[in-house]
Amino acid sequence: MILGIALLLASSIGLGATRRGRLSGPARLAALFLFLWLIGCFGAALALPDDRITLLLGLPVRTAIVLVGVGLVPLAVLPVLFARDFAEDGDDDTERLIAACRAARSDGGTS
Amino acid sequence: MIGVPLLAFQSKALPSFVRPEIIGVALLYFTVCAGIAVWAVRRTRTATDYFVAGQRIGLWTLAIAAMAAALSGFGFIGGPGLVYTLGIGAVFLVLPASITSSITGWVLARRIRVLGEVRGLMTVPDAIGARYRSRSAQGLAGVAILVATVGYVATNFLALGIVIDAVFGVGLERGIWIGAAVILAYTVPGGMLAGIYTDVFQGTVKAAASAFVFVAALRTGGGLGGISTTILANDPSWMTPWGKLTPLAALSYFFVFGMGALGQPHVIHKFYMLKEPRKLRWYPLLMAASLIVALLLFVGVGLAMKAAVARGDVPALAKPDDATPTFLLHYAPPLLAGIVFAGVTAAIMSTVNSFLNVGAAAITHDIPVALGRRVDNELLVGRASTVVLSLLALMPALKSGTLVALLGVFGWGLFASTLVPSLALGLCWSGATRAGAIASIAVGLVGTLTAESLVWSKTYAFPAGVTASGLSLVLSLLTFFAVSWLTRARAAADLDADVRLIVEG
Repeated sequence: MILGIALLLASSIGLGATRRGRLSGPARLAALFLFLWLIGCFGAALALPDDRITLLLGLPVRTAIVLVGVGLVPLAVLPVLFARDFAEDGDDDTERLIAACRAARSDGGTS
Repeated sequence: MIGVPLLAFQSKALPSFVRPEIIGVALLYFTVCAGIAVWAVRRTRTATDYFVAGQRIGLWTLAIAAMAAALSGFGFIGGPGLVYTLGIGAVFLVLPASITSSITGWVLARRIRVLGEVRGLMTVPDAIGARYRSRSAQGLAGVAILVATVGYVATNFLALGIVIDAVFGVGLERGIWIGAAVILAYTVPGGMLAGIYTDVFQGTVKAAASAFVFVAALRTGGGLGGISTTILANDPSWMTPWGKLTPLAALSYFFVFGMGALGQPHVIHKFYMLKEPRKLRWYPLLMAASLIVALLLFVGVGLAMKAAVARGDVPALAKPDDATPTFLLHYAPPLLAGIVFAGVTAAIMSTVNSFLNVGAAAITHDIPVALGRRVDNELLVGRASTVVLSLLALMPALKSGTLVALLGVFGWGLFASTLVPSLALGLCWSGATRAGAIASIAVGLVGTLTAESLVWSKTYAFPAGVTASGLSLVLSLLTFFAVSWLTRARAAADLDADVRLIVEG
């Protein structure tokens, strides 16, 4: 199930970030990071022994891995990669797309 | 398996909070909301103003309003109660918050914004209609949104009545009427333009209240380490990563709420409203950061109350919904309690306002379009539809606790199973077909209603780890891919040239 969830969420990034058949470096990195990170964090939570003595960031180690690892760390990584990917084709790329769509529409076309 | 009904609250009363300071903060909060609403109502002149805030909002407004709409009263009352009961496993409901905004950014934000501008769209089903050149798909999506909206609004009206009763001591029924009247006072005349700016204020109150309470919660237990040590000594299984849930059940919630975020119309709808699409670059960062701040209370109060009960500082809670009120009564100064209650009220009102808007748009726009009709005066009919929708939601909220509970559990799953495949995946995949979209929406609609009804009526219990919402979403996704593949010869014909450019990015 962990593998399936990680694959589904990472492939959603891949699907959404593909522009004109190409996946940018930051988007590729984001999908790879999310896939490996989720498998690593959830896998560690399942695999590590149930240690009730050692605390990490004030929480039991396995709980800290899930709460901080999954709940907070991606916030520091994914939005930054999104911003880099968004700027990859220049800030005006969205305006380019809008203009291209308008042109296609005024050409009357359905495909 | 322990069921997790996603209602704002699971009980029909909170401890009384009738105190002058809290009433004062509540009145101040309502006054500010009223001031913003009056300002916005004067600027509402067209259907575009009413349904998409005139398409002129900025990035901060978009992100905070989306956060405010996404997080209902559940995050402040029902959620901490679930954490108190189920342990860390309950956090899996909100754990995807650090991920979903970025995925939504990649999959939907730019595409919806561009599609809205090029086609002049106003509603989420509009985007489905444009993607598949299909009035049927648009109408069916409108029906699904309408059904889910009535349920969501009914549960939130009930929740608002409970909060107003706790603060002002007016009784539940009168509290529901007062709450509904306040929301309608700015939603009916001002629509989304009034809603979006009150959302910004309400989102700010919500985040501030959450942050203050989180700090107070950590202080009560001697920091996170002190709280953990206390709980581990008394109920160690509560502190495991899955809490009282099985790993499968916890991960199932992560899946449903991770993928389901791509199908929430009250959030997606707001992408139409952004003035400058290039500003979307920083949307995921602002949305995720504000959402996580607003969710600190969800985790913090659950942990603090579990530790407080374990230490014997407070007696065991009679019901889970008492977690936040009991924490405020014992550990927060009255002013902070007032801010938190304003935060709860803000959470409920911002969510209701957004749902009323998307629901009214379904009645005014999407369903008539599917029937081949156009409403002449969408602004006027939109206002009337908002009133009708509110009355529909008020009936179960006032009359029946059990019916409102059933309606409440439909919402999230219904949106996820009907909109994630057809809208989110359809806008990124040119191989999706009209037949695939219609079939997946139908399967999502019927599947969610049937599965949730069976579970709710205790006619059938799914195996541990399987949720009705998760099952419906999987079935809907499989249907979408299978029918699209079977009808793949039609894929190109179902895609206009401009929409193809958007799908291809």
